[in-house]
Amino acid sequence: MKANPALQKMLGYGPNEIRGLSLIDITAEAERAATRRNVHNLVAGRLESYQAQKRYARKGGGFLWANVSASRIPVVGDEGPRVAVIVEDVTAQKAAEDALSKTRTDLARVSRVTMMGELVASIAHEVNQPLSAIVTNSHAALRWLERDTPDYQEVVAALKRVHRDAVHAGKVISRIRDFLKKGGLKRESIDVRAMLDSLIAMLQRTLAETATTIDVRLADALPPLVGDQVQLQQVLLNLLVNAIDAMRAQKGRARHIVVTVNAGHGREIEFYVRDSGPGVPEDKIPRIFDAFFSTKGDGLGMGLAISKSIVANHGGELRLESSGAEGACFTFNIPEEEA
Amino acid sequence: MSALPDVTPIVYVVDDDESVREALSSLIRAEGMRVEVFASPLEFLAIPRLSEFACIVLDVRMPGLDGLALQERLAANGVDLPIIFITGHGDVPDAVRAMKAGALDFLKKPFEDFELLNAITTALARVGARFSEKRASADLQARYDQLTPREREIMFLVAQGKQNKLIAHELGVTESTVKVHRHNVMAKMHIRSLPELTLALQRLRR
Repeated sequence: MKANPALQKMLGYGPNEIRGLSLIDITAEAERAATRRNVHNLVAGRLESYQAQKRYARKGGGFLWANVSASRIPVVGDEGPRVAVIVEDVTAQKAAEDALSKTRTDLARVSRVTMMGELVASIAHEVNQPLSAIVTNSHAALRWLERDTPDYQEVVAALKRVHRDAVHAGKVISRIRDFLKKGGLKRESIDVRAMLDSLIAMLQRTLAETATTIDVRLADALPPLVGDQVQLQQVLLNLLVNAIDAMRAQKGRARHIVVTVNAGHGREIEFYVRDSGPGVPEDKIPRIFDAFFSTKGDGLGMGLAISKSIVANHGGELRLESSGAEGACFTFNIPEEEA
Repeated sequence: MSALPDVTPIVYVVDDDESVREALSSLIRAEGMRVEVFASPLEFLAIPRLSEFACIVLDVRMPGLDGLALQERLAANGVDLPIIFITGHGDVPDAVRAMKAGALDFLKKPFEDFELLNAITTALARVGARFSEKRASADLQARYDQLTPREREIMFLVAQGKQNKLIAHELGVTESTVKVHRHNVMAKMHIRSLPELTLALQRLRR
């Protein structure tokens, strides 16, 4: 391999050191397979050129993020085909993007927490008023009964108010439930493949950084999927991020995710997200769908709880299909809407 | 003198939630106290005369003027009835502000009946003592007002520890006249001894 002084400096090699290395050697380990495939295709003539954003390994450790543009130089004389590579250092830009993306994620998390906090606070207040009236009225009824001459009229009046307020509190709850169910849900026709593609594109960086591979298996004939695309995307995103996080610390074993989409029994679509991680700890399984329960150190503990309710609002069910040493598999079904 | 005067105390309840008002009214009446409920601080401020033997049970958050603002307004108007705050939110800053401004208690809804009733009892005992004191002073003043100018004159001289003989000499009357006046003073003022008389005079000067 020949490299100009600029690239030598970028990677920290001297002119003689770099001569003995190949393009694959200087590529970050997690991306060698992709690079090897690309170079192979170029040399074999299946590809004229390619562009990629990838990481090179610096000599002293660390990475160089680069925009790479590679093209084939055709055979000249008795020399084999060569590959010309232009490497643009985008490490600083990348760092800025990372910082920005982290800020965005943090912001999104904060605003989600704030929004949820406000929602919870307003529900709490709406229900707390009748509830405290119930507590006071029932105490009052007891005290009217315990007087030397019990006042039954007052007891009856207090108990009627207890009943009225309890019914009221129940109505508040069901109003909120209705609102979350109907008001928030869109009904649109969803292209399953496009939805999955855009999700995976969104996760591309995380997948590359964690050296996680992903495989999507779509059955040929799927019933139409109707629902709220943004919400279903959130469910899948949650499951994928959970899978990636579950395998993050895993050593000596491939990090692999398989997303399978099948036509289920009756007219419904089944989604499976299977990882090759350590599985969900057995003692945690009963609680994973609870709100504010998390196995992650920095988790909010709302992902699966929200996902479960989104799926339920679509008439389906989200559950842990299997979990063990071979990995965990979450599945949910979305029935085709009647009428 | 009894600790509490024989006037029925009033508990003023100010809360914008009707269910809570009804419930509190029933609970407080069940304990034999008088209660008056108001749906807003402005409604409460509109009543022409507040009882002095009373306390206020006040909701913190209300549309318009809230409980904390009412507390300030009352203090500015010179009303110092004890206030027990009740709140559905339990915000610490609210509680701190209310207690700093002299609130007697701060209860988070829902609360147990005895929590509120204990607070009300404490509040009423506090104003009750003050109220009795005030009433005793008023009674004393009323009795004093019944004295004739000569009786008052004699009362001051007696309080100074002077003998009847000396008083008679100073006023230019007979000793038996002084004795009659002195007896009338003690009877009209409901006083039996010299120390009591001195005390009553001190009180009247206040």
